[in-house]
Amino acid sequence: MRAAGLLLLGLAAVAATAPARASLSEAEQRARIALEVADSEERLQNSGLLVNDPELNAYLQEITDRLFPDHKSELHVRAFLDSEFNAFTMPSGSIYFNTGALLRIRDEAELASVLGHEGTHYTADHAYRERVHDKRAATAALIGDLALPILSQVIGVSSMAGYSRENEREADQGGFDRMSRCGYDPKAGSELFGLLDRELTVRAMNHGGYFWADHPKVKERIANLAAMAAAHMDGTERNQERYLAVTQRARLQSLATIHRRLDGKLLVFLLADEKLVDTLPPRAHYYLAEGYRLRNATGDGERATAEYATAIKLAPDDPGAYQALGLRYMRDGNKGDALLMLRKYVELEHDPARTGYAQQYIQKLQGEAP
Amino acid sequence: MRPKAARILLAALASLALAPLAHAQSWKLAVENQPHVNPGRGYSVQFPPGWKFNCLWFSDETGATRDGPELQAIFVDFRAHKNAFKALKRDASPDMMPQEMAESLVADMAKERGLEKCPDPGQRAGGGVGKARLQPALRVPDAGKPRRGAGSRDH
Repeated sequence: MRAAGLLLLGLAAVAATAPARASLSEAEQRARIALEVADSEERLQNSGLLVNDPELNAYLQEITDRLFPDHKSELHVRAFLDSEFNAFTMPSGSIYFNTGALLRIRDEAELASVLGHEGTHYTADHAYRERVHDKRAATAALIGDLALPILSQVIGVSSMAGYSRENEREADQGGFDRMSRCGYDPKAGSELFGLLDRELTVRAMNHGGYFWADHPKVKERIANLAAMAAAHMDGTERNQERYLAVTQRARLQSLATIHRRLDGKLLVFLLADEKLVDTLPPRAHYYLAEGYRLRNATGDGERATAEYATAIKLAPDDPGAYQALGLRYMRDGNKGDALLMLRKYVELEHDPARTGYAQQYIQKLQGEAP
Repeated sequence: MRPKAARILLAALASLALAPLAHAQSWKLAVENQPHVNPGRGYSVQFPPGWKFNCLWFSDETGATRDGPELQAIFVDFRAHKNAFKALKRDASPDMMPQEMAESLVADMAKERGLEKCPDPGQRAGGGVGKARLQPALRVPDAGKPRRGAGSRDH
């Protein structure tokens, strides 16, 4: 109720300030947007959410410059720590690319489809056009205030909350034209949106309220992008190998965030159903095993044990799976194997702060041993 | 507003603010091998000897401190298994291991307080900048002794 009240009050405030905004000249509007953007970007810089990975950021910049050679010094890309599938553009030309989007993207062509879309929001001046003709940006900022404290200031001046359908379609078309001109496989965009569509179904999320809030329905976008691709069948470039090499740390980090949220269902969907486990370093098998453990559906216990074993086989020095198997054996009453696994975990885990539980379990098991 | 009326209003507000303390029981000293039994819920907990503890009259929690609540405190909470982790919409179960309970508790707190987006310095891609880290910990019951501690009692 309180949130609804605040929302109503805020909407009233937005409506009250709309005439004042409309009466500003273009130069004044642009100056106001620039001030808001500067404030938002300062918040982002201080948020601790920007990924400090020079190789990754340079790679994202390189692809953006390739897509937008005519705006080379204007668009600046940074990876952003957020496990959701999103990216957003500021009117300043800054593009923030979620690690969650990098996780779901499987190659450079899919990356180019999103960067092309986001860059087009900037080149087509969507932020200013929407500010002048639409109240959505201010409303989005208010919703952000209620929902996302860290990002509340950012939403109103970025593409994060989504633009009008018309502008999103223009960005889809512009992004597609850019990526296909560069020789990327034109099917990449519709394939990526296919993954998103399936994820929305699995997570039972409303297509309109997930990301890029008012984008045309995802299925409609897939159809549009597929139709565009059908008319341009000449590009073939995917560059999967390089993409996976440069992004692997950020993608694993995104998995770790989903794991910390204990979202087993999403881990299983992404890693097993969408087969992303095959595109990630061996530690991804540990996260898949954890996904099965957390989801806890029929047969997930056996699946988890098998995946822990795979994780140990592929990365024998990675401690996580030893600990998890140790706990599983302990729960099953298999004290011998539990001790073996927990001792191995303590031996491999370099951070003693993380081994407290295992040390206690080992003491307990040793105390119970005949 | 007149000064006198303002003083009366302030006094009334202060009385309201301090009202909870009037119901608070006095602090008790924790003694080794003498676990405290929460009168409302019946769970027992052994605080470190020398610490002082107190039942919170408005909840099922018991709080303990050595040097004062602002300096350090342990709060022992009681939760029913059903919907024990409200923000996550997850239940607890009697066979949960302390580590499993801790991971659920931390994830629940993070979600409830909007901290999900806060980076974990130990897991940041490309290295972190901070040194702070939340380290949840619950002790395993000693072998052969009754189970005690946060959120647990014999079921």
